[in-house]
Amino acid sequence: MVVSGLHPAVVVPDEQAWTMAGVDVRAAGFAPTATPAAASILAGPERIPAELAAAVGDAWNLMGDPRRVEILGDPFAAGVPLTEVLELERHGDHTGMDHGGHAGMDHGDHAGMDHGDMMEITGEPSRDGLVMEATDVALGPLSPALPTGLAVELSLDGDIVASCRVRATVEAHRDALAPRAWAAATGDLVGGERIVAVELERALSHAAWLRRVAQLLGWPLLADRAGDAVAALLTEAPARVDFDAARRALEVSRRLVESRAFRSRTAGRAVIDATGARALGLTGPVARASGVPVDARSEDPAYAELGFEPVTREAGDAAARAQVRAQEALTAVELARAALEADLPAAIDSTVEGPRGPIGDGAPPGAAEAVALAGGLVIGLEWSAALAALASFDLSPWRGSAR
Amino acid sequence: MSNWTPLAILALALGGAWAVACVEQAVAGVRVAPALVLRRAAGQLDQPLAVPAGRDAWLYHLAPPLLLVAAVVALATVPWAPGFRGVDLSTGAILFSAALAYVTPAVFMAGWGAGRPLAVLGGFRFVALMLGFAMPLAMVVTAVAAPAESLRPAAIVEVQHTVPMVVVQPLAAVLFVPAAMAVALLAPFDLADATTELEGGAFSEYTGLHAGLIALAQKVLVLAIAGMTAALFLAGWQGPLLPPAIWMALKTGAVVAGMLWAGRRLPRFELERLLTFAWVVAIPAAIGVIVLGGLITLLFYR
Repeated sequence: MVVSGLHPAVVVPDEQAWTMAGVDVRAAGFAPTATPAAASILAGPERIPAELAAAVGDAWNLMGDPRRVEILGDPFAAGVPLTEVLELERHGDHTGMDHGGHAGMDHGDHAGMDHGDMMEITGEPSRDGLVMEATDVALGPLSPALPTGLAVELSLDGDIVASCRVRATVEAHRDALAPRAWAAATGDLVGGERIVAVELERALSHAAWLRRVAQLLGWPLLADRAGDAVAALLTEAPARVDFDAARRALEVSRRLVESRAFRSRTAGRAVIDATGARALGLTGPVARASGVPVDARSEDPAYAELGFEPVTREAGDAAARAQVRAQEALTAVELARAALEADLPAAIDSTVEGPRGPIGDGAPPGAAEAVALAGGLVIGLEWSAALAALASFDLSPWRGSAR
Repeated sequence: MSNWTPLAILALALGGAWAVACVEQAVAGVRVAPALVLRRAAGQLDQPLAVPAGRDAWLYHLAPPLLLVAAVVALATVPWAPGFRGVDLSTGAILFSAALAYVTPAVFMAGWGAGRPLAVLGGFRFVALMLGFAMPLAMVVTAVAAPAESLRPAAIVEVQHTVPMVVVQPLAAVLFVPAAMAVALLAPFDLADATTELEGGAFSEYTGLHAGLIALAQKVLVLAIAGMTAALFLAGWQGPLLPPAIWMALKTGAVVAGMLWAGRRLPRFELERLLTFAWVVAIPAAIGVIVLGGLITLLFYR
């Protein structure tokens, strides 16, 4: 409940997505709110994916008057014009709108809320032997607790998760959360330039993710430091990045991630062992946190020249995934700086390791697997622990298809 | 207590809430803009009220005023200066704990009345938290009152003229401060209205006047618990050179800043850990504090 000079706003998509699109939401003057009710501004893109239209319309309806729209950019470069979506909602003309998403919106089922149903006593006793009331909760695709576009359907036994299903709702040609890695994979970026762009994007992605997790954990200290790293990395040209400032902020962030305070919220939660990670075909930081050293960069001679070693941890829990990302962000800054100075071979044709895993031909391997797996791993956890564990997967809400 | 005391307390609540909002900005590292706080508050009153579709709308409407009344009553028991001791009842310290007890139903009513699963969960969390922390809070107050042989807060301040209570009974202070912060919904104990985690929790549906009342009530609560901490443990208005009211204001301000600072430095605690701490550590320790307080009184204050 911090009062500041920023305007409370519903920010669509979330802050992390805007960061990856190169826009600093707070520098633009907006502070994302927990609920549409607390906002009077909807800060959004020029066009939004059709899958999000219904949810955005719902949020707009829940905002109090006077309300207005601010356009921050056009990161998706496709979809329904935002003004059109809101205009439809304003006139109550829902024809042609896809309201299938409503059921998945937490706010959509307002009118249908019924305490009688919600508090119904079910027969199954929970682990402490008490018969608790089962509560169904649907989060997303526009929840402050999740990346925009991710939808989660949970059933709660008291405040313990009894069942959980995660869905990535947005169909997209490219993942909007890793635009440069996709550009590199499609050959739009080559050579040393490619390494610099991809590594800076990795550092930015991990820092923005860390900031989101810190906000979820209610830890302004970590959110501020991760935010400093984001600010240092968020520039137009790689040469203008303040490497020293980014390094300092990421170093402090890494120490905070390894602190007892962070571990007490994440250690031992949503554990995947190395065998399981291999069997499921997981990739990226999620696999590396389980001790599987899969990393497309290991096969790249240019990375070998820079002395690259994949970052791994053994524990395979939410804490290990955070540690891998915090360390990788630091390594990525170093790699980018080295690549800027080194004279690297121009023709490299290998799979690109994006912030979440490899991007090559077809859908990114491991991405859909992680989405399918995450829900099952948070069963039995308390609400806040479950959300922190889900966040530790850094799931992308974009179901990336082929190139 | 004069005829003007109620008015003075209301003025203190409004002015104090504004000051707390300014300290909040300073602690968060943003530029302090005292006028902005007032503009925001005014803008909030312009908004229409959101009304939930659930059947318990009356609980929803009653919660914000109840929260504010509880906060103002708690504030009224705080002694600020020899000439301005609030309501100055002989049982003021008990009234303080009793007023804070009404925060629990207010938060639960807000969550239940909103009728969303996550808001209800926020309400439940707060009830669970308060079941654990209300007892140590009240017990510690008793222990601190023992040396003064009075539950009148002003008398507790006066008995500290040689040594502040935080030096005499440090364990009592260690138990009192987190419990008081939990009642005032302060981070890292803000489980009921956890912003991202519960999408705003118990207070997520409120707009306009409702939201304004809740924000005001929460800041008055912070002022009340900080003022009481200063009075019970830091010798209240007593201090050299400066006038008593200034001493009390300085100490209260420092406590507010310290609490808000701690909330930024620590991640939100998990309910399970807090409850384990409350039942296994805090409540037994609070009983120990009462025994210790009695011994200290017999040995040094008679």
